[in-house]
Amino acid sequence: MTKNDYLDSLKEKLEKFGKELQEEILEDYRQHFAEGEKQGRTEEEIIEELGNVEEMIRELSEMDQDREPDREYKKIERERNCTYIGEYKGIELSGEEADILLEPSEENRIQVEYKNDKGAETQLQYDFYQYDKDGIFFAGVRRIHSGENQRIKILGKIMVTYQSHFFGNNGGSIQLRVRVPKGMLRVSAAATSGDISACDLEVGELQCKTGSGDIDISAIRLKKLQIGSGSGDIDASGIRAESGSIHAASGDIDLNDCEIGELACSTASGDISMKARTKDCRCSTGSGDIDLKVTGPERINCSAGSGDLKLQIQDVDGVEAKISQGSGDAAIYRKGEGGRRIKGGTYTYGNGACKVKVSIGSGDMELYI
Amino acid sequence: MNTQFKKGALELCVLSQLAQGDKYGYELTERISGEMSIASGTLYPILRKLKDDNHVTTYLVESESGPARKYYRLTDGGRKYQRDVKAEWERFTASVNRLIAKTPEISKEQETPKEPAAVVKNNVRD
Repeated sequence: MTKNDYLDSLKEKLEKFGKELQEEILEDYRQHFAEGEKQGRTEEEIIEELGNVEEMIRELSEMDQDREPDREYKKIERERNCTYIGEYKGIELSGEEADILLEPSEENRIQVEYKNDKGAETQLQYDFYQYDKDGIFFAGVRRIHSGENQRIKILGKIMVTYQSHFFGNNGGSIQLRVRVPKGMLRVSAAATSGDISACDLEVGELQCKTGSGDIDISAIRLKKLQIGSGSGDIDASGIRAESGSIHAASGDIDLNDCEIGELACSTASGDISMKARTKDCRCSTGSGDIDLKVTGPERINCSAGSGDLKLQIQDVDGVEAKISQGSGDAAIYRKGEGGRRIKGGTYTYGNGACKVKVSIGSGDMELYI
Repeated sequence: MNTQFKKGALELCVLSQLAQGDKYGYELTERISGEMSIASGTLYPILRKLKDDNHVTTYLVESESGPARKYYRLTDGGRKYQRDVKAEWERFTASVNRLIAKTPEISKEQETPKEPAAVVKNNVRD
């Protein structure tokens, strides 16, 4: 065998390890030949010395296998991946400090990936649980109270895959990723400081609640949406729902490209910004501002305490607006006519089909029709 | 030879050679294959792994003829790793040596079918 034959065969066998590793090892061998030749060795002698390519390849594969998990262990303290088959009416998730991510399931099964790569101390405080009761699938993260026995029930369901790793580690987050089958009647997710996100779902009802965590949902088709947060912000886009109720204490609410039949939205001190098509819209804030762009409404009921309010109404035949005004300024803008300042009272435009009630305190109001 | 065992031993040889000073691939393989019969090629995956694990770093040095030489150098972590592995190896080989040293006596007794009780007694005493 010549040097070239040897290197060719080596190159071919290294193919499966990827370009980078292939080139690196090849380069080592080329250098080895160059050095050997400098020492006056023949190609055959060097080949003999380097030995069987297969043996080196075996070594490399074993190391590759050894190494991959090694790296995982450094990052992941605890991880579980489970797939559940079964007829479930609903899913109830509790994340505590963990983030909850809801995604569509491709296989129409509930799949849960739990990952805790927090430091060892936090790891010891939390545990993953899963069980089901009365056709509802429960899973989440819970605090372990020291001295108390942990009980993890996994009742009557077949698990297709189940893996669990327990290894030491540092920093990071706790994450609960749940893939939700299409058509699930009810999905409920709650977290304290964790965030909740959901995308591309088709379900009956979705309920999300957080304390300080943010909620971010997009592209969801459903009947009933219920969102609530404490200090966390709420972001929703591409929602198609019959009804939606969205409330935050001090967080902001931002709705974009939503079609929600009956929509109720409120915050105490946060701002509300909304672009939605809705029939019935109720919206209120205490000290925050409101910026609404509503398409095709039949009824709008809006109030701001000390914040400003801007309301744009599109795609209606007429508006009957009842304005109750505090110390701020109020103005109505009509297409092609510009704005005019108004006082509290009832104003009717067109056939007055869309009933609008606006109440403001010390903030200003602008109504665009 | 058991491959896991051999792999560990070779890794320690590589680490220890590098602990004595930076070396380029060929130099390193020459040193090791001078002492034992191995396929030099198998050392390259070991070097690669040590590099991936940050136990060694590499640098290139232009050579007067031929391509630049890739030198391997132990990192601080690699030095510590070498000491740990070496200590582990010494403990292990010491145990093996003690066990090997006793082997002939035990097997002699076991081979004596007439006095099985002696074996039991002997074990208890140990």
